[in-house]
Amino acid sequence: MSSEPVPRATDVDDVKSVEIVPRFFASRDSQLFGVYHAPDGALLKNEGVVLCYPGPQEYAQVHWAFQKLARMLSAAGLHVLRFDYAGTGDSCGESSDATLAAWAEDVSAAVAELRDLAGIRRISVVGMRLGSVLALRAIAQGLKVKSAVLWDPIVVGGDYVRSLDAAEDFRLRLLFAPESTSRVAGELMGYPFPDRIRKETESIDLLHEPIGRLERVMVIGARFDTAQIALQRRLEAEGSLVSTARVGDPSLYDDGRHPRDMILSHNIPVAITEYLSGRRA
Amino acid sequence: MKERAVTFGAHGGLVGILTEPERERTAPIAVIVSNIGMHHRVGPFRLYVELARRLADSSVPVLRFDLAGMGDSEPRHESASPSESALRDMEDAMQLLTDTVGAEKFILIGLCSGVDSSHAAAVRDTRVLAAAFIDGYSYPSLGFYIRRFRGSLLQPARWKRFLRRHLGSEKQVEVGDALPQVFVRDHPTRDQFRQDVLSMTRRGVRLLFVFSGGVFYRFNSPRQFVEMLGSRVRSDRIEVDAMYTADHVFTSVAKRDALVERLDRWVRKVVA
Repeated sequence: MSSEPVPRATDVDDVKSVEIVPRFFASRDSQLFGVYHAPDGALLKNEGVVLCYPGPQEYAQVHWAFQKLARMLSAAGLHVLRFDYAGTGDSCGESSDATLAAWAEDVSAAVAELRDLAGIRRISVVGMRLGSVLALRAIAQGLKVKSAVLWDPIVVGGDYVRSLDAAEDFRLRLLFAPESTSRVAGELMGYPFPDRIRKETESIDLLHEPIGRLERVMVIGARFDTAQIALQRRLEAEGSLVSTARVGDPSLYDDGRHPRDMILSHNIPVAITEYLSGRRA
Repeated sequence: MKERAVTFGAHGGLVGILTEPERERTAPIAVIVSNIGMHHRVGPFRLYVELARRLADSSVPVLRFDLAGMGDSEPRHESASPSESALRDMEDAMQLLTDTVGAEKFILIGLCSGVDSSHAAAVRDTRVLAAAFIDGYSYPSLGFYIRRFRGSLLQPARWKRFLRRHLGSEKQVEVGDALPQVFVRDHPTRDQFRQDVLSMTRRGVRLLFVFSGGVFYRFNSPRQFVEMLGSRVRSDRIEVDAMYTADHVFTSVAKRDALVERLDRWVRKVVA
């Protein structure tokens, strides 16, 4: 395991305008929305990256950062697809119908879509927060990827749900009458969160559940908790080449941040781009 | 209901989702919704997704899109002020809907900073048939201050909160400093806004103003609309609603459903 210092902005920071293609594609019986970022032809690598968003409660806060990351990766010569799980963002379906199992299938569908679209075989995945769990579950179910980047991964579902509950309580404390300041049963941070979804989410345990065989993994974040460090050790123990990067950048639950504010990440997208484009081990 | 992703605009860099009815439309009218601030066209908690699908079920096509430089849309290559750029974006959106679904008239819906582009387009463009502004412009009136003062004194919850904060059991939190001030919004003056409203209603434009509890600090009664603009603005083309138990971004599913229901009812009335 290696821990690296905060990277300085490099030439990946100099992002040119590249073609993007918004489109719908099929997954199971649903239509998912994705944005394909064509690679910069001068640096074409015949490789691709699928970006896996966090769960719906954290989706809007990272949309800008994901777009920035996608543009950096495509400017580095990589084909990129970022997509919305069924029932989230622009994709078809209702938020209340979501299941983690279906979303993991959506990750596999997105990888297949990028393979078809770009005519490439080698695909990596970047998962942020819940997106890390979904990417690892898709890999455990047989999805083949070149490498995976786990950005501030959720490791223990109970801790994750508690952090969302705390963010919801914080948000409600900032409201004033006559706005309703009480929790609504079956909802969390603006989305349906019935007991079924709560229990499924709380059951996440990346320290013990099966995770697939991965050659290369990057675990990246502004800070790591003990569960994330334990996950890094587990991945190493299972034979993955693990690169760990603690990088100074805004995080979703920094002190004083409103849970709805978007994060304006920069250093982490730079580090991920360097890793996936081969400029960083 | 069917949805497709579209790119459009003179520079080809605007990105949106066009939601179309399955059934045949009754009128060549379409709805346009643009993004809010740095957030993209999905809207807060998918509000705009739900709204577009609901309106399409009511036989009205909807384009929700990102203004240039926001969400997934590219910035414009030519130099233009943010307000000029937003106006051109709205014109491009109307042109797309004319080309794709044959729309000739438009209904604009804006929330928060999304009001800026829809208000400016509704004032200038004669193709705009109606506009809905959620937590849009407001100005204090004498009635506002009286209601606010009276309300503060009579609310035990406000006293409890005041005591908690000032006697130390609740730490004061500061939010909002994390984001840089990337948006500079030019609100019209009260006189300008009055003229805008008058010119729109004289043109026959229907207007719906909805205010949530998130702006209660600046708009605390539907009566304030006439108080702040004067009785000359009274018109059967203007509707003013308050949804004060909802927060500014309609976080609660039930409040969001109620807003979608209200907008759907209003759009169906406009289209009829």
